[in-house]
Amino acid sequence: MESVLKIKDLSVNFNSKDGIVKAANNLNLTIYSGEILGLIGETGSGKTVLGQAIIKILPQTARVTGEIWYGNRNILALGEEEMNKIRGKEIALIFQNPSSSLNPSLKIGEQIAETVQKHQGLNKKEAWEKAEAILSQVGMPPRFAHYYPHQYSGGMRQRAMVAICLACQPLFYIADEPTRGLDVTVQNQIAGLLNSIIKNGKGQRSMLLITHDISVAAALTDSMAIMYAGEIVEYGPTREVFKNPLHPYSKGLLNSHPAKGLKPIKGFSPSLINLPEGCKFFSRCSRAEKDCQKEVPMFGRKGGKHIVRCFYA
Amino acid sequence: MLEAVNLSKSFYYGLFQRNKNDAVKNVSFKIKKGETLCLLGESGCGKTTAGMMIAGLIKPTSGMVLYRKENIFKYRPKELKKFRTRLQIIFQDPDTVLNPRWIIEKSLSEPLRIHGLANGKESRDRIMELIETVGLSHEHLNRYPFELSGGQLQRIILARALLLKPDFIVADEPTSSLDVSVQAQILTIFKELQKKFQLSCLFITHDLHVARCIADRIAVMYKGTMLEEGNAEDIFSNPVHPYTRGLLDSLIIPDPEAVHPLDSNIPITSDRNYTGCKYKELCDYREQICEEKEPVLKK
Repeated sequence: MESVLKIKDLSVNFNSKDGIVKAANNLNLTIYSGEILGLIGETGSGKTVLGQAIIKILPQTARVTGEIWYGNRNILALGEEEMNKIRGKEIALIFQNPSSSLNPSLKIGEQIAETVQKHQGLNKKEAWEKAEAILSQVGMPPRFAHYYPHQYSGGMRQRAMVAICLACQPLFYIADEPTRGLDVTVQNQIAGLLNSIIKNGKGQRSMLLITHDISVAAALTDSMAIMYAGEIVEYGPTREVFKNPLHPYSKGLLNSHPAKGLKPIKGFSPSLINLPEGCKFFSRCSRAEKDCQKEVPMFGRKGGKHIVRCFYA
Repeated sequence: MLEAVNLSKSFYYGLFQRNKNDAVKNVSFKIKKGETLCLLGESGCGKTTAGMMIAGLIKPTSGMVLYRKENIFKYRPKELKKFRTRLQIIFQDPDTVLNPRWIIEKSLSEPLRIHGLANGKESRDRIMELIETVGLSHEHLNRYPFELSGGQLQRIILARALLLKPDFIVADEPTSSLDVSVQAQILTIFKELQKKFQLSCLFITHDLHVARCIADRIAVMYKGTMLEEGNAEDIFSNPVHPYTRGLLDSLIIPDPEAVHPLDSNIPITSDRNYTGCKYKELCDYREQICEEKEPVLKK
């Protein structure tokens, strides 16, 4: 398989008055064409930061180091002007909270048409027609283009977000918690929509699905990376990770789902300002030994593509 | 212990209040001591409104809420104040519940002060005891709400709800804004405490997985009406109403091997259709009678 996006040694730090917030540390990740890669983790584990780093919309206070290769271009080295051509046209981001990401004072149709007008040079009328066509692609009647975001329900707003991203037919999608805060039935619809977008792309489209919901990850993703405190602790094909989770944190995360026994992990995630040395999961881990506290474990390969960052897995 | 009898609430809106919205219609249920009833439904189905009426925060248009056989809306102010110590509410979003300018200890001691139950050292001891039961320590007491994470805040709110030793708790989506791992922590504590203090609970949620873990009985709501009620296990193993079946079928389970019935079609329903069954537009078993009459709950 061909790789679409390669992230190499990516670190993101923020300066704050209390110290340096290490939001992401030395991330390495490859996304292949045609696949949905799930990035799983709790609030504050750095998964959203990674998504935002890919299309360079992090706040100014962020210090980003490393490389992000999209095709033969290093995104981190590109200028703002070149980046504007990529955003929306080649890489699209589906934001976490559609109610605050849509412009409340523009009709949904206008917001979709805006993207098409900018990237494809269509005139206003053509762009509007295109917008209506895209809306019906995401399962909504074209007349809904005349509505404002407040007239939409939560699930419909999320569809509108997806429609905006679909507008220029980009090949790489980043979906940041697309199903958060939605009802079960609507969650199912949005998951189905995202799945059909990628699966109808003839192996050309791929997606980075950022989520904390392991059931959505199970249903959609081909492979998954589990993040904890700014680090990826485990990566592998979804089926294998679910069948045989290796990292103690992954095990805990899977078992804390209500359908899988509701067994909580004790303790709290560490603050990103005072990250412990060595393994970040040390204080909550049941298998921890002395050396875990001294040294950050490197990735160990466990057959095929399954890798884990733990001395004792 | 607590009983809702034909509870209905209509909201009036628009010019001269001409439009009417039946948020809750003829909802009845009983909750025994130590029992958890889960109100399950999608957003906008009226489950929060029902919860607010049970807690006495919204006055129903018709129907009544009986607490130990007394109608809570007939209480005199003194009785109402006493009732408020017996029933506590846990709200959905922990960030907006606590006063952001008060340290946690002040927020926690306020209910004790208002009801004149304890002050000074006694109050502090009580708070300390509870804060440890929910898995936090005394250092959290001197912090402000913004210094704590969502999971820690929800623990504080749980502690505050238990301070007055209530016997009934209305929990409105207490874990919907939390991560799965934090949710597991909170739900486990909640279940432990419920057992320890023999609490009855009305648990409002849209999450079927959560409902299954926490509920003794489940009531399924849709567009303001109750469609099905029964033992939690019965509802999951043998759902009778077509809506409940659809809901269970749409559930995504955390197993990549399972067949996921993903369906990207959007069902369009109208809001203003008051005759007949509320679910008729989406129902596969629709017949002529569903258009004309609204079905009533039967055993």
